[in-house]
Amino acid sequence: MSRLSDQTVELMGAYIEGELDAESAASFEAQMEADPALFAEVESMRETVRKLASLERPKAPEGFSADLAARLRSRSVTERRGGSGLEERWLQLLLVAAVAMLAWLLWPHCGSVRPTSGSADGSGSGSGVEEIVVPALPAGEVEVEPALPSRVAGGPVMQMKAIENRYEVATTLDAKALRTELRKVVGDRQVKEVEGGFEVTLDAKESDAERARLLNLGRYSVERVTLPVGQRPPVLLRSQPAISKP
Amino acid sequence: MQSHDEEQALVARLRRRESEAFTELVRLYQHRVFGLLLRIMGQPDEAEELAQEVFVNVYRGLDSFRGESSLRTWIYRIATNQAKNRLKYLSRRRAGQQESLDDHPDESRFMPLGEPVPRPDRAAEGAEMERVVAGALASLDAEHREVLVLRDIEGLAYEEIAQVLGLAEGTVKSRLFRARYALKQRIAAVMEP
Repeated sequence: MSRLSDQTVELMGAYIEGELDAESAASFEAQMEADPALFAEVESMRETVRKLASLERPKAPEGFSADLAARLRSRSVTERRGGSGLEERWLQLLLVAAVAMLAWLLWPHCGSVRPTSGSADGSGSGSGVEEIVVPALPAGEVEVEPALPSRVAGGPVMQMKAIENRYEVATTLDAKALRTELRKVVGDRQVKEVEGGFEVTLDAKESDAERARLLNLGRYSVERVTLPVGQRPPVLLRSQPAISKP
Repeated sequence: MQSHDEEQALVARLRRRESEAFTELVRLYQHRVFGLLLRIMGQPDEAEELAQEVFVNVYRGLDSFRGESSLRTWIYRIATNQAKNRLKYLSRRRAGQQESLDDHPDESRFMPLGEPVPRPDRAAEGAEMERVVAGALASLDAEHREVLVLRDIEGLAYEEIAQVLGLAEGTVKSRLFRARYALKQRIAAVMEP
């Protein structure tokens, strides 16, 4: 059979798919009855669709997930500390969020800070502790400039590490000052003294709702942060809450 | 295939940043994404590289996923866009030949398994037919390949394909029917010299 016109091809396709109304379908069937070659084309087309549907489904190569994890890890954070895969990346986001929130909680009056690039004042630099480069979060969320020193001259330096399901953040504030600051911003109910520091419950739905809204942190489900005092965990994250107020 | 409820649950977990959720997402979609890209790109190494990038982009874009389409549709859209961009790049790279990949398909370039289309006298049923069909599919232009794969291999609805490709449903149907006809012609050309 010679090549079909585009119009016939579309009519045939619609017929096979059952897209024609009753009248058009009957008309097309009448055409097929009168034209065996057209009937053969329709059957051949149906067979083509069946063959396509029965094609083998290729599988991703062995090690695909592992390669992806390595790729994500290599792009997620440039760090001197070794990572452990996808969970590490998720964890990094959580950690960044946790620190940003804590920074905001601890420095509640520096809220008009905007994201900056380049170096700010050098508070806390040269401490000899490892630094990690924090990936920027998506637009509209908290942004933490990588490896910038605190914008608050003389402000606390925070250190953090993940331990199982909690995030430990160390600060250079002494225990008294830390307790004062914490209670000032989150209230007694959310601050619990534990061995070596304070356990803080950050509840975005309650007293910190407004700050959480500003930071858009609610989605991170940052619920509990333990703040050991005077510890030096292996990772130092010097961060600042880069907040664009609505 | 995930049920709607299962998908919603996974999306919710992803939004809660549950550490295992992305791993599960990859487990669920890695073969589909790779298969889709292999059929579109024609070469396993290209498909694998692109599939990796698809998941990187999925990972980075999770916050922008609003659930207006299904997760599958969203991921396929990222995949097809990646493939289009890659094909454009390859096409530009071959600009010296003054050819575009779509206008002048080179069958050997798109053989999915790196094997030639078998001669008609060897093209029987089973594996041989599979190679004939796969080879014919690979020889089509990219627009036809992607719509055939999405509809006839992956089984997406017209509405989903329209979302993936950013086309009107009518355009999807029209393109699909023409693609099927083109494929049928290619297969016939191999089977009936």
